[in-house]
Amino acid sequence: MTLCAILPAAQAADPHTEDSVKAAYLYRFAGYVDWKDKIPADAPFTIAVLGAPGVARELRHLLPGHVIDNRVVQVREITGPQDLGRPQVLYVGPGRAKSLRALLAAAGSPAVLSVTDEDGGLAAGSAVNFLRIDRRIRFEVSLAGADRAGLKISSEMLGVAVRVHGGMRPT
Amino acid sequence: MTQNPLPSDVHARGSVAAKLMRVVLLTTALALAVSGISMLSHELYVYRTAWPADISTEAAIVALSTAPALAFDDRAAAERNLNALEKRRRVTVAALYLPNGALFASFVRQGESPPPLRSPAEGLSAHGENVELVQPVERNREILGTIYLRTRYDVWGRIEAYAGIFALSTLLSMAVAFVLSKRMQKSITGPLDAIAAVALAVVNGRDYSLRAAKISDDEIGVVVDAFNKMLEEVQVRTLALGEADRRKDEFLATLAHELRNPLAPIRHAVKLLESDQVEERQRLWAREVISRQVQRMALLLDDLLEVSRITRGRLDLKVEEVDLESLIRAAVETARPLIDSKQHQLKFDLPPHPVILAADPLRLSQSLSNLLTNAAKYTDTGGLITLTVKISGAGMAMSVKDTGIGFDPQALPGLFAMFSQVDSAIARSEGGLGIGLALVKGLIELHGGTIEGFSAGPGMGSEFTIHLPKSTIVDRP
Repeated sequence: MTLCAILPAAQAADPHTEDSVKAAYLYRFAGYVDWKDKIPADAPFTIAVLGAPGVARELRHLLPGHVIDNRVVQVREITGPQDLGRPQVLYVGPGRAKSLRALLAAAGSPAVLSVTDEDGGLAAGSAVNFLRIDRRIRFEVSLAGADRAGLKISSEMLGVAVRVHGGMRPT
Repeated sequence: MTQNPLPSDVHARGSVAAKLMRVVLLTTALALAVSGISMLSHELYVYRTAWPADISTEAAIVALSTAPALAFDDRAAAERNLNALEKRRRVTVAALYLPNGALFASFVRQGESPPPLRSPAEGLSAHGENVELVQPVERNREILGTIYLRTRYDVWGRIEAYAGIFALSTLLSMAVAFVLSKRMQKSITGPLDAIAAVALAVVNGRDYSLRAAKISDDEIGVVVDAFNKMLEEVQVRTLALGEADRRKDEFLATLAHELRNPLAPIRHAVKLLESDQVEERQRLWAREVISRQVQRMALLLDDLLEVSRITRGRLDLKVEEVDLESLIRAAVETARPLIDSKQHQLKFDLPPHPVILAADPLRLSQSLSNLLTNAAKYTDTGGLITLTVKISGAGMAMSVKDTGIGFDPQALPGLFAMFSQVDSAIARSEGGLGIGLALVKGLIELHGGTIEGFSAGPGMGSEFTIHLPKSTIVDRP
């Protein structure tokens, strides 16, 4: 399992490690979401990445051999709504949150777990936003964002989020 | 059975009760010990075999709850999750390691040594009372790290708790057994007490008429029955012994009397013979008196010797072929003087043809003459004596019937016993030791025959019949 290799505790010092941690988190986020009846049959599980080539690279590196909801997981680097396709996870890199709404509007399915990576990312409409705290990658969750996508995020994941907006943080 | 219990009686009862109590308590303790030990071993076995499943379950739960913390690098959440184990008394140490083996978070109960700094090899291992389990934490086919659990299985504490329960239940059971058996013992010692009391009373008072009361229907009841039967036997035998003793005393008195009786006439006759002025007629009389009295004494002593020979089994018959008629003649000759002196009439009813017997002629005629003499003796002057002989398929029956004083039919069994007389006063007046019938019975039994007596009652006369078996009669050529 290649993921194991990228999860050393010492994170974040260099961008390469940070990207690999984010890539692992993106995959793991997908594991804590209930995808039942949200993905068309025969479709692969797609993680779309905008404006973060480092993360996309790490994902390409780690994803082979992994499955979500019994599907093969693939990564797709996009540049805008035109090549969005029907992703399940949409990651917009730092500074690109403002393009999120347009992207979500263009998505073929509303069931997209959107992940931003900047301050105020949740306000831009995402369900999950990466944070950097004490040189560690953490995240916050917007239940409203998840609701809009019609997705249910597991309480286990909410339990380790730094903040959960729009609801009581589960204990 | 109103005797006060004697000290020894109390002691005996105490010892039986103590033995019973010891048996009950020992059995109870033993049964409890066996069941307690087997239960404890079973419990420990189950306890031990449950360890791996227990700890695996624990680890699975911890892994599930700590997986997100590992997945998203949240040490605080991991610590929180592990600290929740505080309530799991058995878990003493828990730790999470990252996939690279570094310690991520840990929980250590007070006083316990901390977990290894790096993740140990996966698997279950036991170190004394401590059992350790290391297993991966997995989520979505991804290994997020490993979990280390150390649990303590306090076997000794368990054994101590069990020993406490066991001791308490043993104490309670023994107390209950003690009280119950104390009560139930009475059903055993009660009947025993009754027998013991009676036995002591019998021994001390020589009162064989006492009987133990049968209280229970068990083995003790059997003992009571047997004991009472033995008492009865002893009582009967004691009475019989007394009776025999009394008869012997009586016999001795009679014997002395009988032996002394002839002496007076003999002395008188001798004195007469010593006198110078005695006539020839008187001299003859005196001789006759002496001769008759001496003969009487000789007969008496002969009878006595004969009876004693028979009872000691020292008498042998001299069996030969003898004519019945000559046998009867000899018997009648012997009895004739007495019959004539009392002016009895003697009648015969004999078979029409001669009969040859295989018998001891002397003993058989002696028996018959005894019966005739008895008939003459116990019949008032001028009576009728009938001698009847009958031959049948069974053998020969000789009976002597008289019209005399007879006897009470209830006295019949004693009639043939030694030293017995129907009526001592009459017997003494007539002379005799009361051994006649005993002698006849012995002689006839030596011949393989029997004798029976019959009387309708006192004053109704009597009849004695000698039965001889068929083998006694010799076939005529």
